[in-house]
Amino acid sequence: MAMIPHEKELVQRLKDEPFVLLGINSDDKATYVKQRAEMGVTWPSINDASVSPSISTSWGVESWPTIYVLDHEGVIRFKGVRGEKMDAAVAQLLAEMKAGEKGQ
Amino acid sequence: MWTTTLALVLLGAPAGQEQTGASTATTDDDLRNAFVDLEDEYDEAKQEWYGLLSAAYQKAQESNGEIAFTEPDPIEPDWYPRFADLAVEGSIDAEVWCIVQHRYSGLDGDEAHADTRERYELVLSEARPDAMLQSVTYALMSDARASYAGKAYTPSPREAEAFAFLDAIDALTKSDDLRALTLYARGSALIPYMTPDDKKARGLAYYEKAANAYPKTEMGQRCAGYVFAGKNLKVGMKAPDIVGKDHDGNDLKLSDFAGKVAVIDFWGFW
Repeated sequence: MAMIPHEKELVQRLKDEPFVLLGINSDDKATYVKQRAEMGVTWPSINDASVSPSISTSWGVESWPTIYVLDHEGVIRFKGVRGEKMDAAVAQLLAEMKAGEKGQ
Repeated sequence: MWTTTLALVLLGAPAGQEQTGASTATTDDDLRNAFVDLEDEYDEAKQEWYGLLSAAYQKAQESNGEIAFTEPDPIEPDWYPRFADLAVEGSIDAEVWCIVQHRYSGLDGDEAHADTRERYELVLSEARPDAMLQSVTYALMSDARASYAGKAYTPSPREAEAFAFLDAIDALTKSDDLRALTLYARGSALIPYMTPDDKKARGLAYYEKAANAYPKTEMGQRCAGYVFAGKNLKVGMKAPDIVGKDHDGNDLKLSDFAGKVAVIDFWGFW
């Protein structure tokens, strides 16, 4: 919740980049729909409880928020980065991706 | 006769009638009621304590803007003897309360250990409700917990004893949920926060056992997740796909965004 303003800024700033913020949301539907509108959340979220066991259970999530940052090939490159560290991680991976495209 | 005593306790003795032995709880119901009353009293005192805690926190923040502050003195050392007395009268609920709170009893280490071991033995000497055994399981998990404070991994000196009591719980219960929990307790005790990878194998083996033996239980599924994370979700590994639905019921999966840099955020508004 505390991270939403920052994430909104990140998503807005990178809206034309090959980047996605994918939430795994553990609210009930009513809370989610109401709050999404109030808080202006634009990025997609999978409903954590839409499968059984829940995604957070299957992934062994022990605390919220839990964050994974993946490069464009789907490799886990960072875990648990928030705020400026999240921004830096994403910027680095986008830069790597572009450098790789130029090199090919 | 028991019914009469209980009625006196519940309704109060009629005026002018001599009530003998009213202060001594004798039946299971009396003990149960005495425990509930004492626990209510304690809970009230604990609420006051939380009020003091919150006030101390705010005061520290206002004066120096720091998180560090001095907690008010714990109240448990004052309450422990009262629950212990009720336990002596035969209240198993009070025994379990003492077990759960023994770290805060005010007794020193060896004394608390000896005191608590006797309580474990007594409580686990015969069949008990699963809810009670569950509370004891969490206490045993704390007893057995290894420590790793960024330096040396140190197993708990009470690990073997606590694990033996967990075996006793397995023998007393028929609940798969509880048996999965006792396996989780063993695993978790061996893998405290920040445990280095080379020390995790023993703990993970208990998680695997819980996952395989009790796949339908919540704890079994959580243990399966911890094992899965250890095998598949480390930095440098290709992330497994995540397949589910959004809150509107539409299919949504991680691989829908293949080729993009992705932040996966487990979150909620709550």
